[in-house]
Amino acid sequence: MSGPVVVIGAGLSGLVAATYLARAGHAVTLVEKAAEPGGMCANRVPISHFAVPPGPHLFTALDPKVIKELGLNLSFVSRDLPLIGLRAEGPPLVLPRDVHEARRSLAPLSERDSMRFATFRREHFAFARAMRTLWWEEGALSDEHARAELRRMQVTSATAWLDGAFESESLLAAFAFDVLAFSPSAAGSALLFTWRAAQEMCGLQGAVAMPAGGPSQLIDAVVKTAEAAGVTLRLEAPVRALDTDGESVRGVTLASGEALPAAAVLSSLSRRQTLIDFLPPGTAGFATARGLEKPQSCGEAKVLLTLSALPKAFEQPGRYVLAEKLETAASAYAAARSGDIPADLALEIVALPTGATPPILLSIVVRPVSIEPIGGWKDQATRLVQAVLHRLELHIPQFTALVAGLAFVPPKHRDPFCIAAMVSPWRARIETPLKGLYLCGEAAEPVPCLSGRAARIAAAIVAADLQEAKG
Amino acid sequence: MSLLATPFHARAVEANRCNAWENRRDYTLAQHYGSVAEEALAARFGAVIADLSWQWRASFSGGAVEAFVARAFTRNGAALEPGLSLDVLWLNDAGAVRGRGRLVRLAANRFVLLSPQEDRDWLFSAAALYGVSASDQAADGILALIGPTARKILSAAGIEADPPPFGLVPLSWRGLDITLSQLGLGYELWCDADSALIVWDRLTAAGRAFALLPVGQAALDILECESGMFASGRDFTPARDGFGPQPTPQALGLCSLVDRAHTFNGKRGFLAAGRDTQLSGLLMGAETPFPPQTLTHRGQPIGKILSSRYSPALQRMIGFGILSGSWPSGEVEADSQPCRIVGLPFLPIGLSPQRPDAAEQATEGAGQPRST
Repeated sequence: MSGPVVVIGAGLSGLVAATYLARAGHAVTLVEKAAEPGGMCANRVPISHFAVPPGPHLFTALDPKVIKELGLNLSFVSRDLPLIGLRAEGPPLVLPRDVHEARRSLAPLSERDSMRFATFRREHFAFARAMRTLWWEEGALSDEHARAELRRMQVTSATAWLDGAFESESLLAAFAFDVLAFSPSAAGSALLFTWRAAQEMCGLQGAVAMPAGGPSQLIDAVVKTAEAAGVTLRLEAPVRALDTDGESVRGVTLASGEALPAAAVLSSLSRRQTLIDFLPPGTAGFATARGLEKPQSCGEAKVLLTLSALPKAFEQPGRYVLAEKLETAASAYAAARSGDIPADLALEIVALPTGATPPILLSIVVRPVSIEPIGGWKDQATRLVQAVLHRLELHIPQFTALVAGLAFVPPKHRDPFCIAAMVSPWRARIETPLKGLYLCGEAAEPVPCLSGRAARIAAAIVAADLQEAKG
Repeated sequence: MSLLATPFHARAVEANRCNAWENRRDYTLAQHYGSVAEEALAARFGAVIADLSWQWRASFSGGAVEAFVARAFTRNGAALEPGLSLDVLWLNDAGAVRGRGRLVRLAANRFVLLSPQEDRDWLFSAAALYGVSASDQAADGILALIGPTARKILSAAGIEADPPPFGLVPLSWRGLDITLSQLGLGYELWCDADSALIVWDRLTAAGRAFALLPVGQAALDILECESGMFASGRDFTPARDGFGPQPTPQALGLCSLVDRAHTFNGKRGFLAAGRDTQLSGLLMGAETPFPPQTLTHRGQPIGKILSSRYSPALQRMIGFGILSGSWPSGEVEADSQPCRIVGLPFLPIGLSPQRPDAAEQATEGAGQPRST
C-alpha cells in the first residue's frame, strides 16, 4: 500500500474514484462538505412533499465500465429514451434509436431530411464510434478518415454543421438544444454532437436513461460499493485548503483545521475551485489562473414542476425538446451572455412518476441562461419560471392549472469550456500543474457531464503514479 | 509611426543630424548619430551616452509583493537587499521563456523590472493575484553612461557616489533627485521627465573634455551583444501563449538564470524540458549576419545559431549559439561557413579594444568540451 489518498467531493465522480483506488489497495478518505453524499444527485431540492436532485434528470453518458466493474446492478425506469421535438403545430417529431421510425416521423416535415437521415446517422455514428477511442479510453484515432473528419469538426460551428445537414426547422431546433449550454456558433462546437452520439450509441450504459428511484439510487449503490471497498467517508468535512510545498500537494486541511496528509489528492470539484480557491495565489500557474478568472458565462437552469396529472403531450416516455428555430439559437446565447433572459428559451422536458402525490414531476432544463443574470437569480428566477410556464401553456392549453408545486435550480458555476480540451488526452485534463493533485470530476471530462469515466481513468492514473513513486 | 518620445527626445533631435530614427516599443529613437561603428568604438575608447528610457519599466509594490516576485521570476527576487538587482527570466506555465529583464528592489515592498520587451498583461494580472499594485513607469528618463571614462565624467559632473555592481543609489545632484545605478553596460542615471533635459545637458557639459558622444540604438545593440547580453525581443522571440512550450531556457542557453532550488512559475515545465544548455559566443567567418540555423561539426548537427551581428571592435561577425551535449573544440560550421566557439562576453565593456585573437584568449577554455 502507498501513502493515503484523499478524494474531495462525495458526488458520483468522487465516490467512483475513491472506490477504484480503495480496491487498488490505497487508504482512501473521501471528504464531503454536505451532510449526505451525492452532490448534484442528492435529493436536496424540496418540491411539494418530497425532494429531488438539482443535477441531471437523465443520464446520458454513464460509463458502462463503471457500472459493470463496480457491480452497480442498476435497473432503469426507462432507457434509450427518444428525442421528441415539440412543434407549435402538428404532431411532435419523434427521433428514437430506430432510424426507420425516425425517418417516418421526419417524412411529413421534409422528404429531403427523411431521405438523408439514415446516411447522416450512419456516417456520424461511425465517426462518433471512432472518437470513442479518445473519449472512452486513452487512445488515438487510427483511421485517417476519422482524423480528417475530426479536423473538419474542430473548425465547424454547431449551427453551421446543422444548417448544412438538414432543412427541417423542428429537427434543427431539437438537435440544437444539446449545444446550447455552450456557444452554438463557436468554432468546433459541432463536436458536441459527436460527443452526444458517442454516448448514445451504447445500450449497455442505458444511454439517455433514468435509473429506477432516480439519481439518488445510483448514489446509494455507489456509496455501498465504496464502503465495501474500505473508503472512509467523512461528511460535513469541507476542505479549507490544499497543503502544498509550492510544487506538489501534500494533503488537505479541513475547515475544522484538521490536516489530512496524502500522497495524492483527487478533486471532483471544478478546476477553479480546486486550483484557485484551495491554493495560495499563483500556485497553479499564472496562465491557469487567468484562464479560470471568468467562469463559463452561460449554462442551464432547472425548473421543477409537480403536476396533478400527466398532460397528454408527455404521455410517451421521451426526452422532449421545446425550441424555436436554429437561427435564434445564436442570438439567444448572445442574450444570455449579456445577462438577459433570452426570448427564445429552449427547454428539455422529462416527465417522471413520483409515486406520491402529486403524481408527476416535470423536470425542465432551460438553456441558455446566464450564470449571473442582471439583478441576480433572486430577482430573475420568477421571470424565468414565468417564461417557461408561458411557453408550456402555449403548447399545452390549461397547463398551469395542473401545476401543484414548483422549484427552481439556478445554473451552477462551471469552468470555462474549451473545445480544444475535448480532444486532449485524458492525462492532460486529469493532471494539474501541481504534482500529486488530480481532477476526477466534470472538469476532467471532455465535455462536462456526470459519467464516472473521468473518475475511473483518474483513479488508474493516480494508482500508476503512486506505484511509480513507490518504485 | 508612433509619436511617443522619450524625455530626452529634444536633445536627440538636436544631435541626430542624419535624421536616422527607429522605433522601439512605439518610441521614436535615434538609430545612430552619424556612424554606428564609430559610436560603438567610442564606448570603448572614451564614453558615450545612450537613451534607455524606451525600455519597459514595471513597478510592483504593496500586497504580497515578496511572494509575487518570488513566484514570478526564475530567481528569488524576495531575497534581494534594497538597492540591488537580479538578472531574471519569467516563464509561462509550460516553462517557456516569456521575457528576460533585470529586477531591482527599490525598497522593502517595492520592486522595478526593466526589460527591453514589455509583458504587461501577463505580469500585471499575475501581480493582481497577490494583491500587488503594478504600474508602468513610462514617463521617467534613463540615460546610460558607458565607457572607460564614465566614472571620470561623473566626477567632473559632481557625482561622487558609486553604486555597487548591479545596484543603485538615490542621490541629490545639485538640487535634482536622481538615482544612479550600475545595472548594465555602465552607469545609468534615472530621473523624472521634467529633469531629463537638465541631466542630459549637465552630463554632456561635463563630458565635453572626455569627448563624450551620444550613441544610437544600433551601437547600443552592438555593445550589448559584445558584452554577451542576450536580450528578449532582439535576440530571441519569447513565448506569448500562457501554455506554449517554446522557447525553454534550455533552448536559449539561459539555464544559468534559473535557480533550481527556488519555486517559480513554470518550474515543472522547465524541469521536464531536458538537460541544461549554455549560451556561447560564436566568432564567424562570414561577412553578413546569419539567420537562426543549425551549427554542425564534421557534418553532424551540434547546436544552433540564435542571432548574429557585426562587431566593429572585433572586426568580424559575432553571434549567440547554443550547443547540445559536449561541444567540440576548434572550428564548427554554419551553412559551410567556419565559426569558432568562444565564451561570453566577447568583449567586456570598459576594457580597451582587443584584437579578436586576444578576445579568444580571454575566454580560453570556452571552446573546450564540457558536459552540460
